[in-house]
Amino acid sequence: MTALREANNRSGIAMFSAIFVLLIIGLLAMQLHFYSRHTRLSAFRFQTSEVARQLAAAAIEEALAYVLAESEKPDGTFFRYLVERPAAIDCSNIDLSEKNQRGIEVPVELTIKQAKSMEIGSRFSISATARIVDFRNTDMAGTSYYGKEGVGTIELRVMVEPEEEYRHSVSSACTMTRHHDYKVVTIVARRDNSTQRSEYAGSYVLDYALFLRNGQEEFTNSAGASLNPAKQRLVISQSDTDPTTFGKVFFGNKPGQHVYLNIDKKRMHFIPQPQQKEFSYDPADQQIFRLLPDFFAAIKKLARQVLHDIELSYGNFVMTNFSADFLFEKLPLCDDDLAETEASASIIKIRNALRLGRWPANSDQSLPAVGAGIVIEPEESLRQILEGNVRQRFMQIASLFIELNDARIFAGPSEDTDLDSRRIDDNQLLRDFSTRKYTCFDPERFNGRQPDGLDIDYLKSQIYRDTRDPDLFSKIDSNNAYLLQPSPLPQPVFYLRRWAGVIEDPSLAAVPFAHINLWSRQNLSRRQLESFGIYLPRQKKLKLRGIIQCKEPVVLGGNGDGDIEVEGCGILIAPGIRIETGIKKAPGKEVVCVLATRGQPITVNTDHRIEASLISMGILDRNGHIQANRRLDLYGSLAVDRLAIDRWSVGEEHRITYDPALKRQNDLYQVNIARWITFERVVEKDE
Amino acid sequence: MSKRGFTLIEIVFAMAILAVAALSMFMLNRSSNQQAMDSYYEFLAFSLAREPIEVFRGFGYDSLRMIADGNISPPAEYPTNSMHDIEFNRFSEIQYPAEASMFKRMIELKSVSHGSLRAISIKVTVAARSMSRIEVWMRNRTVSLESLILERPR
Repeated sequence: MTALREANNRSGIAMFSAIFVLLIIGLLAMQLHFYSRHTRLSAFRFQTSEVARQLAAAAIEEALAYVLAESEKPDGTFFRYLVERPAAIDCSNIDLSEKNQRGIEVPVELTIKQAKSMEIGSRFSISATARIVDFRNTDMAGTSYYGKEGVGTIELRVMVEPEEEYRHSVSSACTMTRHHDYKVVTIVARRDNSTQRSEYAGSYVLDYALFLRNGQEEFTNSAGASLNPAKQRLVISQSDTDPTTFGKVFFGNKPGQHVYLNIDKKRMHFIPQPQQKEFSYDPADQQIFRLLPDFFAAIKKLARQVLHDIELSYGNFVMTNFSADFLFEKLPLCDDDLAETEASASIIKIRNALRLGRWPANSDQSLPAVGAGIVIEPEESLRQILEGNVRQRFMQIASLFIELNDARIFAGPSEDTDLDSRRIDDNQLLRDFSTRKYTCFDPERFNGRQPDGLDIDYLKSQIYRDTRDPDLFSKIDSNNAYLLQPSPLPQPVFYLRRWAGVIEDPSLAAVPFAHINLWSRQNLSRRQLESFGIYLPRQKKLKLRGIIQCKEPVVLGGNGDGDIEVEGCGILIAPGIRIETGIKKAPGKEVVCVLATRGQPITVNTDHRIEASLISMGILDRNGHIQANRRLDLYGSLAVDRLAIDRWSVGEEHRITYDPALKRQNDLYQVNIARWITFERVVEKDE
Repeated sequence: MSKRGFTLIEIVFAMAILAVAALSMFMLNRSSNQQAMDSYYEFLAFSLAREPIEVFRGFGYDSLRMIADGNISPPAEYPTNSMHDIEFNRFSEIQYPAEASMFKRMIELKSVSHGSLRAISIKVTVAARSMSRIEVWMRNRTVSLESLILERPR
């Protein structure tokens, strides 16, 4: 019995052992099965996740392309979103944890279309949003930018998620977030012509058809020739008849100082009335003798013939039946106006005497010519155009005429009595001195003596003492405000870049577009200008958007015939610009083209119209200028440190016509979104 | 008293049970192996599909457009528009697992546009080479991955 029980027990152990082994093998098989199943699922998730990531990558590129394209359209909604920064898109002032609640939808239709054509991709929904996560409207020093200018960060966020109906089978999702910097810059800041600016705006010089920052120094150094060239003519005109859009003209006078423009014959109407005035003066005969030393010497010589041994002085002579008149004339003073007649030639001598402060000698023939080369049109609107203290300069000649034809001159031996006087006049002598015109000079400004002229010291000490008439002396007058007398012209105000206070000295004014932070591109090479599609010399296209700075001098044109066509609104800054062909604005679009240097010259080698604004203003020096080697026909504006018109081609009529697009009632902004990615985050979800 | 043995029926019944259990475990094991290998090769194939997309994304739209238009040749490692074996180059910066040699790959480039937006659609298909062991293991003989490479405004 016992053996049987043991045998039964052994068979039971074998059974259990077999079942146990089977169970272990089964468990291992199950584990392998679950592992492989998991691997299979992982491979599927890897696929769906990769598809989602590829779609997200495409969608975020498409979203960037969309916002870049929309930011080029000043009339577009997205452009306004970036400039105005309404609450719908602006998260810069809220907690970042709440930022995803704001943002505007960005269409990514091409990626969605692509996804629909894919087996796995069609199971995903794709959406993109854009929001502003940061915006700074001050520079590093805390100085505010103008208006809505500033530097911000735009966030693009793309979400790729499984469609609702596929959520049970597809669990992958991808969220891609990228940050791009963007800049809002004013190309043209609004300006009311009747008021001054109240803060620094980078485009302030575009208010002016002609702006000379250091004009005063140039004017002084050239003795006024900088604004009164004799060999060139510069016409500054307006293309619009509306005074609110007029481009102003500022010649750069410093506070308390003035500049002048010469009056030529064509602008005689600017000379204050009366242009001719006679002043009858009744001098005593002794005054005439003293005023006219040559005349007195002549009659003294006559008197010696009859009064031999007497020392003759003024008291020995008496003159009757004479009269004297002063004639005051206001005349143009340019060489072109005075070179026609013999009488004019004598006026030129008087003018040169006034310039030299002495009577001109033969060696003074090569005096610089006097011109009136700057013309501002329309002349009737100078009040709306000119800024600063601009005077007119013309010539005022005071002359003394003495009528001696019927005069009687007596000479006697005694100064006390005329009992023994004898008439000594000689008709020829009297006629000679009657026909002369004696120019009156101020002895304080005139050295020496004019031939056959007046004794100007006596004129001042005696005649002027009696009359106190300041017109008694000839002068070149530059004390009249240009047409606007007597009201003084307002001195414009300027600003330093980092200081909000007003300055009236233009030579201290900041250069335009001084905030480098707002430049959209910096340090480009010429090659990059071309590769970035900014300047395409072969297509003759200049595409501007925002402020672009090139580190190399730029040559525009010069590759055959045809003008360069400009598209967009922007400023090209380079260390030297040479213009070889005309520049025209693309039709049908808003175009503002500004070509600027930081004080390096801009050379113009074409007489074709240039529809652009030229700026040459230095940061440290004040030597910026342009050099027009051909007739300049500029449709825009010109802002330079110095006019340097003596370097322009001679014998030409250069013209600046102000483009009314530069005088706006609202600001013209440009938005530049950087292509560079400053931050990227990819969140993939697999469960 | 003689010892009792198993009857033939008992033995046959026991063997049947064992056979069924062993067979099912064998099937399960085989299936698991199949799935594991399939997943591995599919993962590998997908990686091989992703690689040219990432490389071409680095090229950018302009270069791809020229390749798509036939103006320039694609890099030798990434021939387009026909199935090619994956080239092994031990000096290449990109190294593959040995099994990659059992795949062939086709890169297709196509210009697409939407409004003013232009892009290159890139589709990479990876398939097992015929007569390779991968053919045995991979359930889907081919895998493909697509993406878009958009023109970036300059």
